[in-house]
Amino acid sequence: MNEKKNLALRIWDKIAEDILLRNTEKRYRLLHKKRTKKPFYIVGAIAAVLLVAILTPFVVKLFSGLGKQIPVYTGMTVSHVNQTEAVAYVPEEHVLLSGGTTTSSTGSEETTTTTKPLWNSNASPAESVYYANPEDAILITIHIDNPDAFEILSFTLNGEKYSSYMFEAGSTMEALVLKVNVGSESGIKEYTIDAIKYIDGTEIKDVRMEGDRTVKVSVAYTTLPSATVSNVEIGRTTFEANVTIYDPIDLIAMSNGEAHICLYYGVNTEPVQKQAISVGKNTVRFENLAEGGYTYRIVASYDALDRYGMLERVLKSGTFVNEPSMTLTITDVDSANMTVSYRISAVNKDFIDTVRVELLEKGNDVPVAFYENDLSQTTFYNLKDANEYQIRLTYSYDRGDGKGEQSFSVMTDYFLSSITISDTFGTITKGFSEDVSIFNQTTSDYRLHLGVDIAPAGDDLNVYANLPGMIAQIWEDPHMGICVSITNGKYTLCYKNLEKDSLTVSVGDTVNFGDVIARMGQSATLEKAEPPHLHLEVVYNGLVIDPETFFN
Amino acid sequence: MKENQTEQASVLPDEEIIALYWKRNEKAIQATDDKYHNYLYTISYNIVHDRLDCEECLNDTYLGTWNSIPPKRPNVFQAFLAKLMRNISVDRFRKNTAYKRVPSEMMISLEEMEQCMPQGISANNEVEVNELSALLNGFLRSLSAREQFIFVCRYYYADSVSQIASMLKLSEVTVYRDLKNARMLFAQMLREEGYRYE
Repeated sequence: MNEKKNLALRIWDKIAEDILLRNTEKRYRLLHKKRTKKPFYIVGAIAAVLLVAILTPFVVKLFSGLGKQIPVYTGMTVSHVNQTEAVAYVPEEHVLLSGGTTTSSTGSEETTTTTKPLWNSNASPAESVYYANPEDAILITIHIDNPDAFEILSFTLNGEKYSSYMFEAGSTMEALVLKVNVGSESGIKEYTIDAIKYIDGTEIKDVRMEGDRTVKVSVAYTTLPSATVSNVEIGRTTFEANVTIYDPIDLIAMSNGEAHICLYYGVNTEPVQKQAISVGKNTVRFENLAEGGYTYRIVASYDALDRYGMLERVLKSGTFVNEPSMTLTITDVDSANMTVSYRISAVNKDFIDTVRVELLEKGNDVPVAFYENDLSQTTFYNLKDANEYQIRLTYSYDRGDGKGEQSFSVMTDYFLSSITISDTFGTITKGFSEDVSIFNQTTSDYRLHLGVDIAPAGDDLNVYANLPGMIAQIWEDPHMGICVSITNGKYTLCYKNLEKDSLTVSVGDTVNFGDVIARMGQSATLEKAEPPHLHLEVVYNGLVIDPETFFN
Repeated sequence: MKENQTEQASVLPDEEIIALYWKRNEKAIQATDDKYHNYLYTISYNIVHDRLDCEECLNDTYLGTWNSIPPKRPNVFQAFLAKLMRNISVDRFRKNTAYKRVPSEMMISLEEMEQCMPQGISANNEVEVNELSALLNGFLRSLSAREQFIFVCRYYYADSVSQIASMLKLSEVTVYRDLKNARMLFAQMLREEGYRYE
């Protein structure tokens, strides 16, 4: 009982004694009035009065009732309450219990409308059903054809009497609106109107009942089926798992529904395989699977009384990948001009979670460059001259085997970055010429020139190593003076015409690009007439080649 | 006349019944039951709407009467019994409504009376309840005899509209209208006293 009712009860506890006594006595007296014999003339007078009293209503009715129409009940409708207005559903717009949409495994929708309701096989197609969720407030509108606007006093719904003061605001004498709560229980709730009373003059009469007296509201089920998947085993061509379906209130059985597990390959919408399963524990196995990524969906068809009717609904879904489809490889490694390009081949890249491509120098596990989760990048830049590198590819994905994301790694073989020779040490004053003799200023004749002459840049006479490698030889040539050679095993650079006693290296020393090894001089007798300069020769596979082809 | 004499011989006058209570003569209860059983039963049924509960309330009323007289000596015995029966039945009604809706005339009359109750007043606050009761008494005194009788029968004794109409030889419509007008006047009076409504 709410607070106001409690209060309405309590305030009578202190009713004044005189008021209570006076009315109690009167009440007792009226309830126990004794009949006594009255004189004949009084009886006659009373009889006459009674006769008039009995006949008067008929006369009044005869004249006043002429032309007035008895109110007629025509039916009930249900609407939902929202904050701004009640949205009314007309019966034609409602989905019958048997209606709704079904979704096939292809994902396409089709609407089915049968005339056999799911829960009540005796219901006629004309019956309309309304849908609500547990604890919803709904408005029941009772429609009355009442052209003469008789005052409606009360009605009885499901055995309970509702007086006019209980009608919702906005009710009229032709549309009585009552607010009710559908309650917490799911299922179909019926509301049946028994009788409606109206006032005609001084009499209370019954409204004529012609419409459907019962309206049904489907209160949606909230305890729905669910599924779990465990013990997943993925083989080269197989998938096996334990699938458990939970259905606490037997909705699937009540709906005469079914459950399946469907297997989809890639992004296809048609299942490649499908198995029927039941409520409880199931062991599922798919065989003859091709390589690639798959999606499984556990579906069940049932009617949750949620206006969608009998519908196939997804209880659980997941993905897995069938090995060995997810192996990534690095191919087409091409190193040139201090860059290296590559290709990564993979199937079903959409299933890859992370990927990292790293450039590593030989002997160093810390990458000098990397790309993360960007398979569009296929080139590393600014490699060092003649340096050995390798590329490491690391990637991860979830195979759907219950072990979560797993990592894999592949490495290329070592490769050498391309050789370049910088001409930053000066200006070439005389080029390579192995076929045509060119004038020699010192000997005043024409000779072949099997290297390049490089004049110093400004006052800087230092000679810098421009090939990382080892000092192979230091010697004094009778024609070309003091000489030093640097080799990396593939190429040998010979620095000639060096200043005597200016060497800063010894045979066997390792030099890096840019190290000072000596100073330019005039020790070459064949080029003595020229100012101090460097004579540089390049030997490849035992043959002298044009150094300018290697300058960047 | 003979029938009347027979009827009168089977029930004792109230003074004699009260005298039996004072003498602690157990026939007092039987005499009370003989005379007022139906009357009290009707009061209880209007409220609790259950035959077993009515019988229990009746027994509790007789016990309450036995324990009250002496020392009390009621001036109007039937009014004393009616009030006691009503209070015992209301207590039973409160217990029953704690866990279910009691489909009695009392519940319907409370739903009507609820419309007049102001906001924010607790039924457990004695001071506020006493103030409201005082205002109710004042209001009742402002009504005509007929209006007052109808109001008390409906909301104190939970008599149905048809019962009241039958007692007063009025139409039910008239009784409805009187009740509706009285409720509106009571609510208006409380508003003028400063009570809040939604």
